[in-house]
This record gives sequence, structure tokens and C-alpha cells, in this order.
Amino acid sequence: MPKPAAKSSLFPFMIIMGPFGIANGYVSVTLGFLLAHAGMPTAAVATIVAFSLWPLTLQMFWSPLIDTTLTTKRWHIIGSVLTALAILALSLSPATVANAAPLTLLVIV
Amino acid sequence: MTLASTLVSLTSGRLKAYGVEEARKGKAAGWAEAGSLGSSAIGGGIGLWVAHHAPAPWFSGLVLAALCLACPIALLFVADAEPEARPERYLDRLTDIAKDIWRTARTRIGFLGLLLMLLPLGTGAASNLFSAVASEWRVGEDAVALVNGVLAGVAQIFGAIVGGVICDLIDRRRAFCLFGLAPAVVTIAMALLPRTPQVFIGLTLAYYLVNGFCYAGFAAVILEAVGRGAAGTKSSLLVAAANVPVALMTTLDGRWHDQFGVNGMLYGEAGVAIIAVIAMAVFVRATRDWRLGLGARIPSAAE
Repeated sequence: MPKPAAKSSLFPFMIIMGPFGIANGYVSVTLGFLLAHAGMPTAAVATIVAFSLWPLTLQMFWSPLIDTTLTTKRWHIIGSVLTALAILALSLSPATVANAAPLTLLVIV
Repeated sequence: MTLASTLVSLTSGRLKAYGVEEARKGKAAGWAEAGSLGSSAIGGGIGLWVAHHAPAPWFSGLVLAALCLACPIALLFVADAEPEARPERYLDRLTDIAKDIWRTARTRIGFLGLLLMLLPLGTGAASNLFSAVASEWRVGEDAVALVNGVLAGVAQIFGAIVGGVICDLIDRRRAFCLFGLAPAVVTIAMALLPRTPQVFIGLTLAYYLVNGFCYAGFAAVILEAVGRGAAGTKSSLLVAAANVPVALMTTLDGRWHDQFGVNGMLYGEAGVAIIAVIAMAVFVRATRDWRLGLGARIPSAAE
């Protein structure tokens, strides 16, 4: 049986969602600006940003992993670390049309 | 990056499902949505500011990555989701998830939750076109940027927190429907009132505020519908369903705008929301004693 829920502060849930929101904001605003600033065509930028929506729709395919393995907190830490690494990798990748495929892949994963 | 970030949202849902008592799930949903909206503003706003002012473009990535790594500290203040006894074989665990989804879909609370996710309520679709149509209200570019940027974020965050509180005071599905009607009232007012900058700014902010209500209502309905068990998988299915009306309304708003002008878009979005709420109310009333699946009566929320 699950433990009875304890009455605690709900504010931490605001912070816990941080990496999810930061990733959304980074890809739609900051990355878009950096890519456009580097001379990438608007259509190419829009395509890369649009690919970021795919995982939100397809997450049902990997969500069972969270329900069936490790602990929820461990999965959260894994998600936060991977998000941080992906943001860092994106910011270090050359913003060129030739590099669009690796950039798109980084945005998706 | 987005796939990795879904691990964060999925685990956040699971932690709420297991760690928050039923009576406070609305507030928890509101805080989490406020966190998502606020951090999105940070990812965009601070990221952009640092990118503008830092010596190298990767510096913004470094700052945001550091913030991402700091967020899990908050895990220290919430209880972990204690898993029920898991079968040894992984295939059996997946089978358990499938059974849990089926069980939830057959409960009235789960079934109505899924239906609500498919309705075009609280999609916030019109906001995608506010910047494009602002010139009709003679609003300056700076004001448009301010209203649709920082102020929109503040209004949505405030709306999400207040909406979450309301979700704990009244039935959450009813709250979501009421929240879904609020943007309709705002868009109708936009269509009827004089086209002045003051009206645009006031009503746009009102739209973002009630959109925050909708975010909280959406998350609260999902949290209530999934219960415990495979909370991550069940919420991901509901979120996937909810993406359908968002995409549909965004497309429709664009078409109505091009075919019938701004008023067509505003009345169109309002009309769809009103019809959706009426249809939902009729359906709920008509299916009070409906039987689903293997002849089992759908239990009510109280059961």
C-alpha cells in the first residue's frame, strides 16, 4: 500500500518543473534568436523549433519506463541532467545550415 | 533536449500523484504549472538576455544548464513516489500498466478526464495571433512585446496559482469547463469593445490570466484522473490527447482570421468553447448511469 500523503509545502513542485520550462523557453526563444542571429534562414529555424514538439506528443512511449524502473526522484535527476547537457551541447554547436540535422537531433533528444 | 525534459514533467506528475493528498491536488497542479510557465520565461528571457550581453553565445547555455541542475534540489522537500510491489518480469510490469490504463479509462473520473482533454477548451490559441493583429488596436510595438512577453508570463503564473486554488474549492472538471469559458468571454469582449490600445492591453492580459486558470484546471483534471499506479504513463496519454485540440484550434484561428478577419477569429474561438462546454454538460448528464467496457457501471468521483 502506498504511504499516506503528508501535508507539506507545494512550492517545491514549482521548482521541480524548472528544467521542463527552461528547455521550452530556451528552444523557442533563445535558440531561435541565436540561430537567426547566426544567419540561419527563418524556415530552417522554424523547422528545428517545430521538432521540439514531437517528444511531447510521443512521450507515452517512454513514460512506462518511469512507472516501472528506478525511483521517480532518480528519473527526475536523470531528466534534469540530460536537459542541462542538451542545452549546453546546443549552445556549443555551430549555428549553421550545414549543422541543422545535428541541431534538430539535439533539440529532440 | 525535449525528450529529456519530458522525464522532468512526467516525474513531476508522478510525485504529485503520490505525494499530495486529494484535497490539495488542484493547488499542487497550479504551482507546478506556474513553475513550468515561469521557468519557460526564464529559459527564454534570461537565456536571451545573457546571449545578448555575454562574450560568447554558449554562455547562455551554460547559465541555463546550471539552473536546470539546481532545480532537483527541491526534490529534498517532497516525498518520493513509493512504487507498489513490482512484478519480477518486466513484461509483467508492462502488462500491469496496460491493465491500470484500462481500469482508469473505465472509471467515470478517468473517462470524463479523457473527454475533457479532447475538447477545445483553454487552448490559448488566439494568443498566438495577438501580436499579428495588435495593429488593429493601434498598439505600439514595444507595448505588444511587453504585453505578450513579460506581462503575459506574470498573468499566466498568477492565473495558474489562483486557478489551482479554485480547483480545490469546486469540482475540478466543472472548474476546467468554467475556466474554458472565460477566454470566450474575453474574446467576445475584444470583438465588441472599441479598438483602442487600452482595450487591447487590458483584454490581452485578461486572456493570459484566464489562460493561466486553464493551465491549472488542465493539470488538476489530469492529476485527478490518473490517480496513482502508472501515473506517468496515464498522464502522458492524456497530454497527448490534449495536443489534438490545441493544434486544431491554432489552425482554425488562423483560417478564420484570414477568411473572416479578426472578429471572425475571436467569435469563432468563443463559439467553439461555448459549444464544447454545452456538449460536455449534456454528455455528463446523459451518461450518469452509463455502462462502459465489460458491463461495469462507471463509478462516480465520490465512489
